[in-house]
Amino acid sequence: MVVTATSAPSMVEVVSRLVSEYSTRTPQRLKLIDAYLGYIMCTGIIQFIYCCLVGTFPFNSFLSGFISAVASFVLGVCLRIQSNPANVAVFKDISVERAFADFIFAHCVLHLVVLNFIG
Amino acid sequence: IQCECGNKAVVSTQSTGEPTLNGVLAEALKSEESVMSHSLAYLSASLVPGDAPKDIVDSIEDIVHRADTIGSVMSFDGGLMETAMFLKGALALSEKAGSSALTDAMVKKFADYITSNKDKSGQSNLFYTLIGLEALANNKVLVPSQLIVLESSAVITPEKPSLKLSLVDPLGNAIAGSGLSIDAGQSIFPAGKLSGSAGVFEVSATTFTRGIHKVGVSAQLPSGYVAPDVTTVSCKVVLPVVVADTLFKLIDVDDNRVMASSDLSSGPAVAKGDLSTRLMFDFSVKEVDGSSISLHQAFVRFTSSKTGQEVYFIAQADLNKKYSVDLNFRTAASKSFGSLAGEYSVDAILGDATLPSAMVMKIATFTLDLPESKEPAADLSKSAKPEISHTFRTPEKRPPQAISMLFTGLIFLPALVLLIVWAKLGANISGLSFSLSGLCFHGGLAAIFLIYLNFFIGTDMFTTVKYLSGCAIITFLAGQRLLSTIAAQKKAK
Repeated sequence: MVVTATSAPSMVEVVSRLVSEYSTRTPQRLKLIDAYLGYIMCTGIIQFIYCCLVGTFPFNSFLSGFISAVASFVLGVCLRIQSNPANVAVFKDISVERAFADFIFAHCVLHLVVLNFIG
Repeated sequence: IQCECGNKAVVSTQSTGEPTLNGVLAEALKSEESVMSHSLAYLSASLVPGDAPKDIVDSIEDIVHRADTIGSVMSFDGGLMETAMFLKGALALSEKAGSSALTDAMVKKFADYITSNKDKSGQSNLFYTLIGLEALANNKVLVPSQLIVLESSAVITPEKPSLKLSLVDPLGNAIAGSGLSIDAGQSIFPAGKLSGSAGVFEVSATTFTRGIHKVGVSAQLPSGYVAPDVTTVSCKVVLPVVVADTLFKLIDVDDNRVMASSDLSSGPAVAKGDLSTRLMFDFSVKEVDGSSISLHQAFVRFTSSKTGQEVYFIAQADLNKKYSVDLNFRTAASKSFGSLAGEYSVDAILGDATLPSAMVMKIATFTLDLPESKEPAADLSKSAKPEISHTFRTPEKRPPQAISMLFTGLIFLPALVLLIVWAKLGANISGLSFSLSGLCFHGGLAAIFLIYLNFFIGTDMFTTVKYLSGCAIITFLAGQRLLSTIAAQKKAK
């Protein structure tokens, strides 16, 4: 780690250090999940922009789509936390496979509800 | 049924006069419970020569207590037929025995029931009604009577001053040998016995006092007849009236001077007015002898000759019973007349229950001048307004299809980006196992999403849940097996 002893690190230095640490330290599995989370976030943002442009007429459709994106994001974050090797001490009883199974099950329920509500 | 046979046996052996017939009847009656069989037994017993057997006569009292009293009518459960046949049998037997277990009140209530019975179940009702009424009218023991007013004579006028009353039996025949007298305490008729015979009576009014009077009467009936419940007759005395002291005045409010004034002795007035006019019309209603009275209804009506619209005002009476109508056209023109100018015919309308007929008097022809106004006159006519048809809620505007398609396409872009990023990161499907569990799991997941797609396309939640439950169990089991093998493999590594 190279830190200038005399002055506080500038913004650019912090960001570049964050990026380099992320790409070296993070296991591949977590990077995959992060990519998935970014995709979900983009989808949610696009839905929101559409709603701002054209209004909320079939409000139930907008709500169900947006909440589907938000809930998928939350489930993805959950999976990431539970499958992070650094957190093994906290999640002693929950193996990675179990976390994945929970993720799949929750998604099935979520999609059933969303499809019902989307109208 | 035994008693019907008994009855037939009685009729067939009547000529021989067998003295043991009463014994036969008593025996048959011991095993019978129903009201109808008792009624037929009474009828038979009344036809058999010789004294009526005591137990049968005594049983009348027990049977009659089985009847239900609802309000002022009394009847048996079996309805009109049972009640009528019971009356025929019991009254015939009571007449033969010389005493009756039925009381005055019971007989009146039975009569009320038969005449008011509303059972619509068939033609035999006419027969049983007549059976019951004839039994009540033609027995020598207890006949209920009724007081009726003949020829609508309860409306008394100086031209038709006589009240005609009659005492009748249940079949409507006047009761011979009866008498009627008017009680003292009312002012129209002289008190005392009424003249008349054979059940039809007449009395003439001596004093005519306007109004509705209750006249008390008392009936004297020969023995065997029950006096009627009704003891008062409502009579209405109707007398004509005269309209007097009429005064029709038009006052100009701004100048405070009288524009027109007439007492209508030379016919209806002709007058003109505008917004600053005040119209006053006074009158009083007097009896023929000169005293003022008040009436139920006194109106003044303005009828437009242009559109036929009618505007009514109520004439108010003060303490001296002088009626007046006071109209200020500054407010009334728009409020009551709808700002409709033109000629109006003005009439006074008087009505009351004690007037021989309603009176309509033409008071004046009044022309209302109003300034030209841009608003059309209010439509005071009572014709139907235009029909309102329901307009459904218009749905909100949807965005143009181009924008919707654009955003639909835009949604798929991040998915592509995701696939590229995953490929770059090195995600691969090399670890995909084609074992049974693996196939079942992935196949099951695909099936679940196909079921969801089917639901979205059209089917309802019930079919979805039905297929889903089966699929979910398979997928769950397969997934559990698959993931545990992967975990075991990882541990082994």
